[in-house]
Amino acid sequence: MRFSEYLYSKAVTLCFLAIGLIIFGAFFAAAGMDPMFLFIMALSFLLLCLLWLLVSFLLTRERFRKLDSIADSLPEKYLLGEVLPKPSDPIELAYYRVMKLVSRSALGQAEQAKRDKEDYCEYVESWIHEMKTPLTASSLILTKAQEAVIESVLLANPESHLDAEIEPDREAVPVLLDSLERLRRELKRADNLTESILYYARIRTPGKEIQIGDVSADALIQDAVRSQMELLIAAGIHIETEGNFELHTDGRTVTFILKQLLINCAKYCPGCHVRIAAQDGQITLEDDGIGIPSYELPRVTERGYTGTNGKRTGGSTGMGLYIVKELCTQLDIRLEITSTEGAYTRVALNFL
Amino acid sequence: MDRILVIEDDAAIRTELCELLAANGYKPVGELPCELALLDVGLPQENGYEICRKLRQHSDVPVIFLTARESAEDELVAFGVGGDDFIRKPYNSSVLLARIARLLKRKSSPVLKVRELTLNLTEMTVHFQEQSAELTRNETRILACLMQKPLCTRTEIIEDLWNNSLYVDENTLYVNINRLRDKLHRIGAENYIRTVRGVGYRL
Repeated sequence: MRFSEYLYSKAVTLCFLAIGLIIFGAFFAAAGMDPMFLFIMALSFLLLCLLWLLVSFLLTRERFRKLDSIADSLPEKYLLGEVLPKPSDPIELAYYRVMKLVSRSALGQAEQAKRDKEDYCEYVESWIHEMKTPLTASSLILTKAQEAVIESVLLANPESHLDAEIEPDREAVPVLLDSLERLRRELKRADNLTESILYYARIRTPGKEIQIGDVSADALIQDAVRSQMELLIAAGIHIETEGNFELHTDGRTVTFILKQLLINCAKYCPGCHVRIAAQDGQITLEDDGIGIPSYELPRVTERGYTGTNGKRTGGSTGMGLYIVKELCTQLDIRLEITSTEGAYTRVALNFL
Repeated sequence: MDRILVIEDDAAIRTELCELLAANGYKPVGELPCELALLDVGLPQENGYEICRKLRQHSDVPVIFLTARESAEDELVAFGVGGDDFIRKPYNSSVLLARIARLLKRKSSPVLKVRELTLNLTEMTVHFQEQSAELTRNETRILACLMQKPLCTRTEIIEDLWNNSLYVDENTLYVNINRLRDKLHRIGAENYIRTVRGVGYRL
């Protein structure tokens, strides 16, 4: 607040003071008061007014400063009404009461929203765990079906049959085996989707569930690759891994990040060559697939963004890389994505 | 035959798990004694960790925890109560079987034998009658896979290789199988690997 602004806010009072000075001056002059005395009186009146202005300006400015510092120090601004100093001025007091009402109502709403979110996240988490039971049962049932089919082939072709090439007894067998494998891939996709919602719920409640420890980069990479082998093998992805270093981070989350990147490879560039290297505190994953157009590159980690590749392939939610980026931020990992359309995509996770 | 204790509250999973184990040469049991224990963590009454702690008081059999939970804390607790391995649901059956085999392998020898063919897994050599040949890592794994099961699908072999960090694709498998056939042919093991069209391979 500047002095001129303050002066402007006191304009009405100052006008009345000036009018008062003129009227009383006129009265005293009419009563035949000594002009010298009148002049001294007017001067001291003006000085008094000036002094009042200055003092009240300084006091007001001090109060403003205090208010600003309270507002600045408070992370949740809606709580401001609760911590304001109580004023004495009746108008200010009225405002003060309104502020308190606003704060209380906002506080109630915020608490309710927080509770709702926690309840929701808790349910999502337990739902995901429940979901794993049918997924596990289905995958075991599939294994059994596959073994039964193989058993039937073996029964139809006993040991004595020593030709170099064996024809399965029925045409249906290869089709059946292929269908079972495709079902297993779909189950893996369902599992991946449940896992990504789990991590999505976690980025909304940061700090929870993060477990920092000493892990080796190679172990995380192998874990991620193996967990996605159904999809990667089916997509004809050629994986090459090299290098290793020790790092201090949340291994499970980093594995999840790597899995998401591998799922993207299987989805967008089937048949390509993926090189995963770990060295100098950096894990890089590079494919020689379709790449990302340069104008889309800055936006790929945006929530819900699906670029031309996503629209062409379909089934893209635009959440994968968003979750990856959020998790990287949480774990202090620098995420760098570089790409040339039609040539390569390179994702670097920098742990330093 | 190794007895495996299966503690799992979901009936569907329990049935399938027992059948999977039985089909792979193990004997699933519902109570002690056993050579290995598979424990579900989330059980209605007493959780898997409690059971493991009790089991540990009088037994040192390997324990594998199977869990749907995702948190790292669980893993720490699992190892804290004396678990040997921790597998998340839904698990790939080949991974589960590989881990079971690894924990039980402590006693078994690194040599596989089918008819007159002998494979040494540590030396990566194959013997037939008086002759022998050296194999690459890929070839060793492929032959081991074929010797352990009467018939392997291509995907099964590839997944077994991936579980051993050998990331090959179907074309590479094809090339490797042919090289393996050549090597076996050279030491006199004719027609040992047979193709089952549209399915996979068998010895």
